[in-house]
Amino acid sequence: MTLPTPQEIAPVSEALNRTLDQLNRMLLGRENLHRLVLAGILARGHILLEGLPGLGKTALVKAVADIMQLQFKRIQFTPDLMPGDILGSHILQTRPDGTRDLVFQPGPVFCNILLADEINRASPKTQSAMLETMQERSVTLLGTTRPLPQPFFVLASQNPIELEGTYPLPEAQLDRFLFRLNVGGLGVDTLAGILTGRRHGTIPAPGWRLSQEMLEQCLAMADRIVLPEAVARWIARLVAASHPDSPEAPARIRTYVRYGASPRAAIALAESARALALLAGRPSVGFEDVRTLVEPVLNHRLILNYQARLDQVTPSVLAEELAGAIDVAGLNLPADVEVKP
Amino acid sequence: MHTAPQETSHHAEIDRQARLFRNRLRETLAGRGALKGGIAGVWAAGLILLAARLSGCHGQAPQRWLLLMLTAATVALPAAILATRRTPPHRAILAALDAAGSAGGLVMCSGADGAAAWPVAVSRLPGIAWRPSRALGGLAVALLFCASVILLPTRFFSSASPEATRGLESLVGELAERVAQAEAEALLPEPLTAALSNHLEKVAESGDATDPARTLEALDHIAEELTKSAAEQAEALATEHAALQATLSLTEQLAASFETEAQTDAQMAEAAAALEQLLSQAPISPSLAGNLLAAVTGTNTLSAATLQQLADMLREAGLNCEGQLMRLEDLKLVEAPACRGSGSCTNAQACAAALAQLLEGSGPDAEAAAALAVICGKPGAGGVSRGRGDAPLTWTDPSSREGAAFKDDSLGTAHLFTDGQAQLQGVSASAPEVPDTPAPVTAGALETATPSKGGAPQAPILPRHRETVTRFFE
Repeated sequence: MTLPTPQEIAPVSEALNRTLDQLNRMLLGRENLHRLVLAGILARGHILLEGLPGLGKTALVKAVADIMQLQFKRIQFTPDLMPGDILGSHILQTRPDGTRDLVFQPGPVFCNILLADEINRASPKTQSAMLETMQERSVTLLGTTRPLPQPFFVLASQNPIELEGTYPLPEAQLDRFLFRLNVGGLGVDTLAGILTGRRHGTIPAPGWRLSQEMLEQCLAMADRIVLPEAVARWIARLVAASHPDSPEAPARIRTYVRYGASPRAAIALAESARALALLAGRPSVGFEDVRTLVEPVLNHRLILNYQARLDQVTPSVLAEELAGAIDVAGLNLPADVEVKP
Repeated sequence: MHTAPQETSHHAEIDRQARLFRNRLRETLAGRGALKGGIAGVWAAGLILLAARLSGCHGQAPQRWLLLMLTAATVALPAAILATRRTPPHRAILAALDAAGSAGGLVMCSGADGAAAWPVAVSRLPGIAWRPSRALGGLAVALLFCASVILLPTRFFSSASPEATRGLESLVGELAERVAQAEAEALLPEPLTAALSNHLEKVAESGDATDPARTLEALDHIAEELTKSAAEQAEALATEHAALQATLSLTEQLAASFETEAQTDAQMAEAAAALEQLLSQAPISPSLAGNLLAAVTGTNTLSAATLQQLADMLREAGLNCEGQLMRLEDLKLVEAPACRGSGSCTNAQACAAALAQLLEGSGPDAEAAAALAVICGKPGAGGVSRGRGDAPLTWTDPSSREGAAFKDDSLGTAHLFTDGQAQLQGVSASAPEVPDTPAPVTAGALETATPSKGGAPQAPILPRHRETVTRFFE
């Protein structure tokens, strides 16, 4: 286990922080959300943004793509959208010599950053085609597999209201998203800042952009961040304790959770924690990194029972409680002995 | 792998802090274990002491406290040692330090290559909070239990009740009253009554009903001594009374013969010698015998006046004996009057013949005196093992039937299968279960009974059961 040197981490961390600064400058009042989105990108994960219309979900994705100079495409999902509309299709073309041939026309999924807007309005058939692409990062049509350009990120948005005519994502497909981030409302000061500084809500152009090479360095450096054994064990215990039949599960998890998180959640926690540590300019993952990420990673992976609905208990609350209930260091002390920082 | 000196010192400093924190944690766990073990030890000591005191092994209070402390220490020490085994491993300690200081994993990675380039210091060790309120509450309860077991007086651990104490007091009082009356009226020898009074006082002082059986046994012993002495005294009085009656009859016969015909000097001297011999050999008290002999031998020859004086003295002595015997009966020191029916000789002819036989000097003197007593109609000395067949039957308190009554038992039914006169009572749907060999007819509870040769079954009543038996019949 070798830690990266400060000299190796410093340029990467600086570039990421400048990226974050640019995002914060372009989109006001979303510092934490921007940090999580950046962590998700560094962890090579897909992100599901959930929020009411007009809160800046699309603007966020566009700003990220602009700063990172990545190829950006947007798909507005509708019920009549077909898999071929996003993956691409074969078109019969006539060659100059008069022969005809099927030529593959790539769909909008062939890009670096894809904004899947209102993904829950597409039919399950289209959703599954999209989600398969997210998982495999390649498209297979007529027996031919075509890899997607790297890096490839999907930032999907979902409107929690106007659910008529929508197809809510099944849990198995939700599990493929690294985070589910709730885009909430803005404060009065932020809104006032937007009104005074932005005519027609126009987002200013970034003053600095992340180069493709630097992005690749960032992604490579994120892989070198050390995950200590104790942190890995805490992540494992967290995910295991999210199941109601786990001996370490807290009482409210036993009461309200029907199914806990999958091993994919543990992997997502570890990878995104590495990214967060890199953003903080550290060579190793700390418990605080994991604690920050427990809610966005687990909130769409905890399947609650009917009692939770009755008691209006949300997965986010349970995830936060879970992080507080499991002893980080695994000291296994008696209940009446406690370590205080 | 090459390790730079700076890296080594950095890692050593983190290790030192981790060891320091681990030692603190170990001490806390040891203290907690010792407290819990001590509580268990106190409970164990309390239970041991309770069992010991309930079984009658009380000991002294300092010994009990010593046992309590030794037991608590004996359990607390291994518990503390065992508790230290729960001390977390080194990597968990590092993780705790990292989490407490929000070090971002650098403390945990302090041993990794390149860690020296990322200096991190544990500025302040995290605190260890132990909330022993529940354990202390448990200790207080355990100590309270032990203190009550140790400090409570012995009477709380015996099965004696205040009713039993009162019963003992009444028994002691009743016995003491009987002894005091016997002493006051000189019915029993003074040394004996003094000894019994002294013994009764000791029983009254020490008999606090903590051990009723022991106290009852002591009372039984005193009562037995008293009864035995009274019986011996009554027997002696009865014997003396009989001898006095015999002598009185002889004296009256002589006086009558003096009145009817004149006696020669030789005859009178012979009669005086016979009287003197009878009085000297009679089982009467020496002082009375001395007085009577002085009345006889005061004059060389017997006269009617002398015989009359002797008869009066004998009558008075007899009445005195009777009075003492009646008083012994009144005080319930003897069960049956030893001199019932006495007071006057109703068989004068036979008495005279016996007297003549005595005067002729045939047969042993003791047998002659006994024959005189029998002839005078005395029905025996009484008592359990002595006396004649026509002695009055005395009923005492009835015995318990417990253990003496026969247990109900059904007789064997094998004869029903062999009896040709048996009648059909019903037909069963299943095959009847008839044993191949009929069971032998047994006599039930009488099978093991043996001939008692006319004796009734006897169940001895122990002293500790007397109160129960008495209450049952009441």
